Amino acid sequence: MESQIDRAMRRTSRYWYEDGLAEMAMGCIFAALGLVFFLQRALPPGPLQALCGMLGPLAAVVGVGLLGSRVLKVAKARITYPRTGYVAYRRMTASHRLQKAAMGGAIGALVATIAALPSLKVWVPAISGLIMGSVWVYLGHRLDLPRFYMLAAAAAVLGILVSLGGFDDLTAGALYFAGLGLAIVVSGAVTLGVYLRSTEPLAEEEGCGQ
Amino acid sequence: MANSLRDLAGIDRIIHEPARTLIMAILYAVESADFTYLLRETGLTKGNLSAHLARLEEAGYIKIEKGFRGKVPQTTCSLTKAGRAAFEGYRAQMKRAIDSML
Repeated sequence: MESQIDRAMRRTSRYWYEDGLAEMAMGCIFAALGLVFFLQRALPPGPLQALCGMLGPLAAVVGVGLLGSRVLKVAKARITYPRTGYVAYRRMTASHRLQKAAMGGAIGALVATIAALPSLKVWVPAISGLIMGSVWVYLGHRLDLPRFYMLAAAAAVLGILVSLGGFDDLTAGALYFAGLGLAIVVSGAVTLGVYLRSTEPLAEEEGCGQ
Repeated sequence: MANSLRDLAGIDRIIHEPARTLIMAILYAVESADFTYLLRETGLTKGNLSAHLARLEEAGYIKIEKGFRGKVPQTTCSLTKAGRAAFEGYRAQMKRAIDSML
C-alpha cells in the first residue's frame, strides 16, 4: 500500500518531464551559454569582448530562461494539458529555496576556486561535468527517470573530453555548454516525439468532467 | 498486534478506499490537478471519478474549482488543509499498523 502511494506521488512529481518540453527549454539555456562563449571567442580582444564576457552569460541565462519559460507555458497549454491533463506544482518554501541557493552558491564557489588555480584550470569542464552529472543522477533517482542517467553520463563524458582536449578557456566553455545543451535538447525532442505518438488530445467534453 | 488492530479500526474510512487513496496521494504531491489528469492517472471512468471526488469534497478533504482554460472548461481539484492533514494522518496510521504486524 505504502509503495503504491509513493509510486503515485512520484509519477505525479515527474509529470512535468513527461513531454520533454522542460528539458528542451533547459537545453536551450545551456546552448545559449555555449553560443555566448563562441561569440566571445570570435570577437577581437577589446571592450566588446570584455562586455560580452561580463554580460553575455547573465543575458543568456536570464533572457533565454525568461523566454523559455513563456514558450514552455504556451507549449504545455497547447500540447500537454489537452492530452494528459494539467497539474500545478506546489511552490518551494522559503527555507527550501534558501537551501537550493546555498548549494548552488557552494558549487559555484568551488568551480570558481578551481578555475582560479592555474594547474587545475584545464579540469574545470570535467569537474563541472561531474557536478552536472551528479545533479542529473539525483533527479533521475528521485523521479525514477532513466533517461536522466544518460544525460548524467553525457554531461560527465563531455566535460572530461573537453578537459582532455586541452582547449583554451573560451573554446572549452563553448564546446562544453553547446554540447551539453544539444544533448539535453535532443533528449527532450525524443521524449516529446514518444509522448506525441503515445497520446492524443481529448475531446473538449471528455476532459471537463464533474 | 492489539495496537495494530486498534490503529486499523480507527482508520479514516473515507481515504481508506483504493481509488480515493490514489486521488489523495496524487493531490498530496501537487498544488492542484485537473479532472483529465486524475482520469488518466486513476484509470477510473468519468462517473466513478466524479463520485469519488464528490465524496472527498463532502468530507472537506478536497476543493473542486470549475473554470476555463482558454475556451475549454476545466475542473481542478486540490487538497484542503484538512485533507492534507488527514492524508498525513492516514499514512502514519497505516505505517504504524503495518510495522506492528511485521
